[in-house]
Amino acid sequence: MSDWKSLEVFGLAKAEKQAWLLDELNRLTLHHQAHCAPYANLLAGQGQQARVAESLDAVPFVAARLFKMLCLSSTQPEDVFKTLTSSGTTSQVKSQIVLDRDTAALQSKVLVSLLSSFTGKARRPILIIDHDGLTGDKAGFSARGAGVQGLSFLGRDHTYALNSDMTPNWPVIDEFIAKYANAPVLIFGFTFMVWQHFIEPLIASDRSNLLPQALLFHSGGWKKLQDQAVSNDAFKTTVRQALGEGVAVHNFYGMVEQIGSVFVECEQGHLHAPSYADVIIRDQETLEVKNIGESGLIQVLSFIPKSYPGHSILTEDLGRLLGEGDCPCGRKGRYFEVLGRLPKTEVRGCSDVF
Amino acid sequence: MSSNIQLWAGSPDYLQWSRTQIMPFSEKRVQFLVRLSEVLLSGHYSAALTALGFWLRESQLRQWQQEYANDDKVILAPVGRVFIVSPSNVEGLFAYSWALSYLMGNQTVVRVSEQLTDDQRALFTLLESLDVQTAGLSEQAFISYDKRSDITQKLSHWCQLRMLWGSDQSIESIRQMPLPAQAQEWVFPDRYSVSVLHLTEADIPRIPKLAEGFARDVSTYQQQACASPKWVLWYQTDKTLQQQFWQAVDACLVGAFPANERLVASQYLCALGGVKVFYGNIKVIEASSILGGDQHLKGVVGQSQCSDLATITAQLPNHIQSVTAFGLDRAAKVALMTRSNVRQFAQMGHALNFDKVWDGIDLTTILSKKVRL
Repeated sequence: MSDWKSLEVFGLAKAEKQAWLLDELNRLTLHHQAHCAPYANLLAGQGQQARVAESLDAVPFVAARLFKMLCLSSTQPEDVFKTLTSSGTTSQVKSQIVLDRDTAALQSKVLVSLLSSFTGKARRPILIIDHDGLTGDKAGFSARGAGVQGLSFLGRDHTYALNSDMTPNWPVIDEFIAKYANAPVLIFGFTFMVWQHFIEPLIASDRSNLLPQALLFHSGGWKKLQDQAVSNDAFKTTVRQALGEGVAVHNFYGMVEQIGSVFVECEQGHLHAPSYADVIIRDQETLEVKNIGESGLIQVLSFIPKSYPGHSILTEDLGRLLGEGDCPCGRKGRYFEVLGRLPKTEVRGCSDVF
Repeated sequence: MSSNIQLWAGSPDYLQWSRTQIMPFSEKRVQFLVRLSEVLLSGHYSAALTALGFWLRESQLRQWQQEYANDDKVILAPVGRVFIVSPSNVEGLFAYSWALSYLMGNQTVVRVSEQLTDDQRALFTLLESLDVQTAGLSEQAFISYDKRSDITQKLSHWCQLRMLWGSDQSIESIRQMPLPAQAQEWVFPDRYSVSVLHLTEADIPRIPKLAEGFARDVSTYQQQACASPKWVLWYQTDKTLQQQFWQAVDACLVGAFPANERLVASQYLCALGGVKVFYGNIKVIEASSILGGDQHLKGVVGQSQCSDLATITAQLPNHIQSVTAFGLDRAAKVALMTRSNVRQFAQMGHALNFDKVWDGIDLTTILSKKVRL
């Protein structure tokens, strides 16, 4: 089997991709079965032991929430390099993702390879819409910190746009703008933070057309923006109003349970599965595989997770499969859209009025 | 008074109430509850509130009145000032404990969660309107407040009885606040409940009815109440009968639990070592002993096979509450309770029916005092 580095990021035709990815995933299933007892139990309990999947949709999946309920690790405690936690808000229980050095390194390499297919090989100056202070502590590494660190490999002259109280650090921003107004730059941040802590203040301060050659990557869920009735289109329009008409804006879909192999939005507004990963849409009620045009729960597949059994995860996000191999942008593979979260069945455990 | 207190029904000046002279089963209070019951039974309320209405029906109240009639040795009197903290998972629960406190003649402050459910709103609206007509709630208050405020502390000093319903964690935090030596406390912490079933060939015709009851016990509150059965301990029951039972249960639970909840719950129990034996509107996971008791799972029931009563009791956790049982005679029940902490038995389909003897405690007794003459 060919090494992932030899694959073109969005260049594999369906049969080729399935053959490569399926082989990787089957190997991971066996690996985790041998190294993670709860995962082996899970397969055995569901009658899925010692089975090699014949197709991608037959690869066993783990419900995403299990990472919040159990420590699922295929890594010896002494080999744990860092543990990622989801950026879950307030009192929610957070996911725990255990990484060894190899998996952590692979995440970064894959992410860089994937995103540089949008940015080009040259490292661009990068403006990070966050504050500098997220990536210090390895033991309790947040998804936000991991995202920032992952993206930072793509850029140079890393500039943090926010103060620790989330207000814009104007002197730093203005200096970055003055320095790179006519250069291709990279901007990265979490969707809601880009909107609330960067774009809105920029507009309010009457700054406009500031970084006309920028490329903006943003990720992290739309819920808060949907609450403010900001659509993806409105988001893009407003970003371009503030930064420049020609600014490229790419959302991407990813999660702490599968860092690295993210799904990036193309010029058509479609999220694309790279060669290293895939999506399957499953019926919310029956969990049967859905076809193009249909919506349901999003299952994500990735060849990266070796330190924990997260190579096939059924998320609690809803999406619609839009097509495969025929996006006008020219990228091969499946493309889809995310429709939001599965409506939360109210968590009403024994009672906490106190 | 702090501004973050919300009063949903009753009277706001509870810290200033003077002592009451009302006695248990006072006619005015009985009449108030009867009126409440009649309106709840009028057909305009949810199943849960209708059940509350039924529980408070006049014949029931009168029966209790008989049961607690005074004799020439003791006279029943109120405890005085009662502070009830109620849980949010079983939203109607506060009404039951409040009604008993009220009936026993107490001044009562009930704290409910700040996030009201539709049922709670409807009930408070009704209580308010009855209060306007009768002034029946002049010494009662239903409030919410921010848990970080000092109100719990104030009420703990005010009350003569503190009654806490909630998770172990909530109860332990409230218990950080000292209770004056003269006050009593009763707590209703996290509990776990199971079903013990003993079916024989002769029971086959009864399976549909039993299954319907079981389905009601698990679907009410989506298994989140302490008394909801989460595990079935099969006592000397043939596997074919078990399968028939699950098929019948399944037929009663169409759409009861979201598929993703069932998946999460069953994968969790499998990861702990369980094996899926039935897959449908509810999933059944078999293991040699109870698993996953510390998680709030939905749409899954565990099962284990027990050849004798000792295997059953060996599995029951310390915080076992209800055993919804079928096919156990009195001797078997006694054997179970003497070897474990079982606090109550229930019939199939009645696991969540509230009773004034709950969790092993006679609530009317603790909400009153017996004054020897």
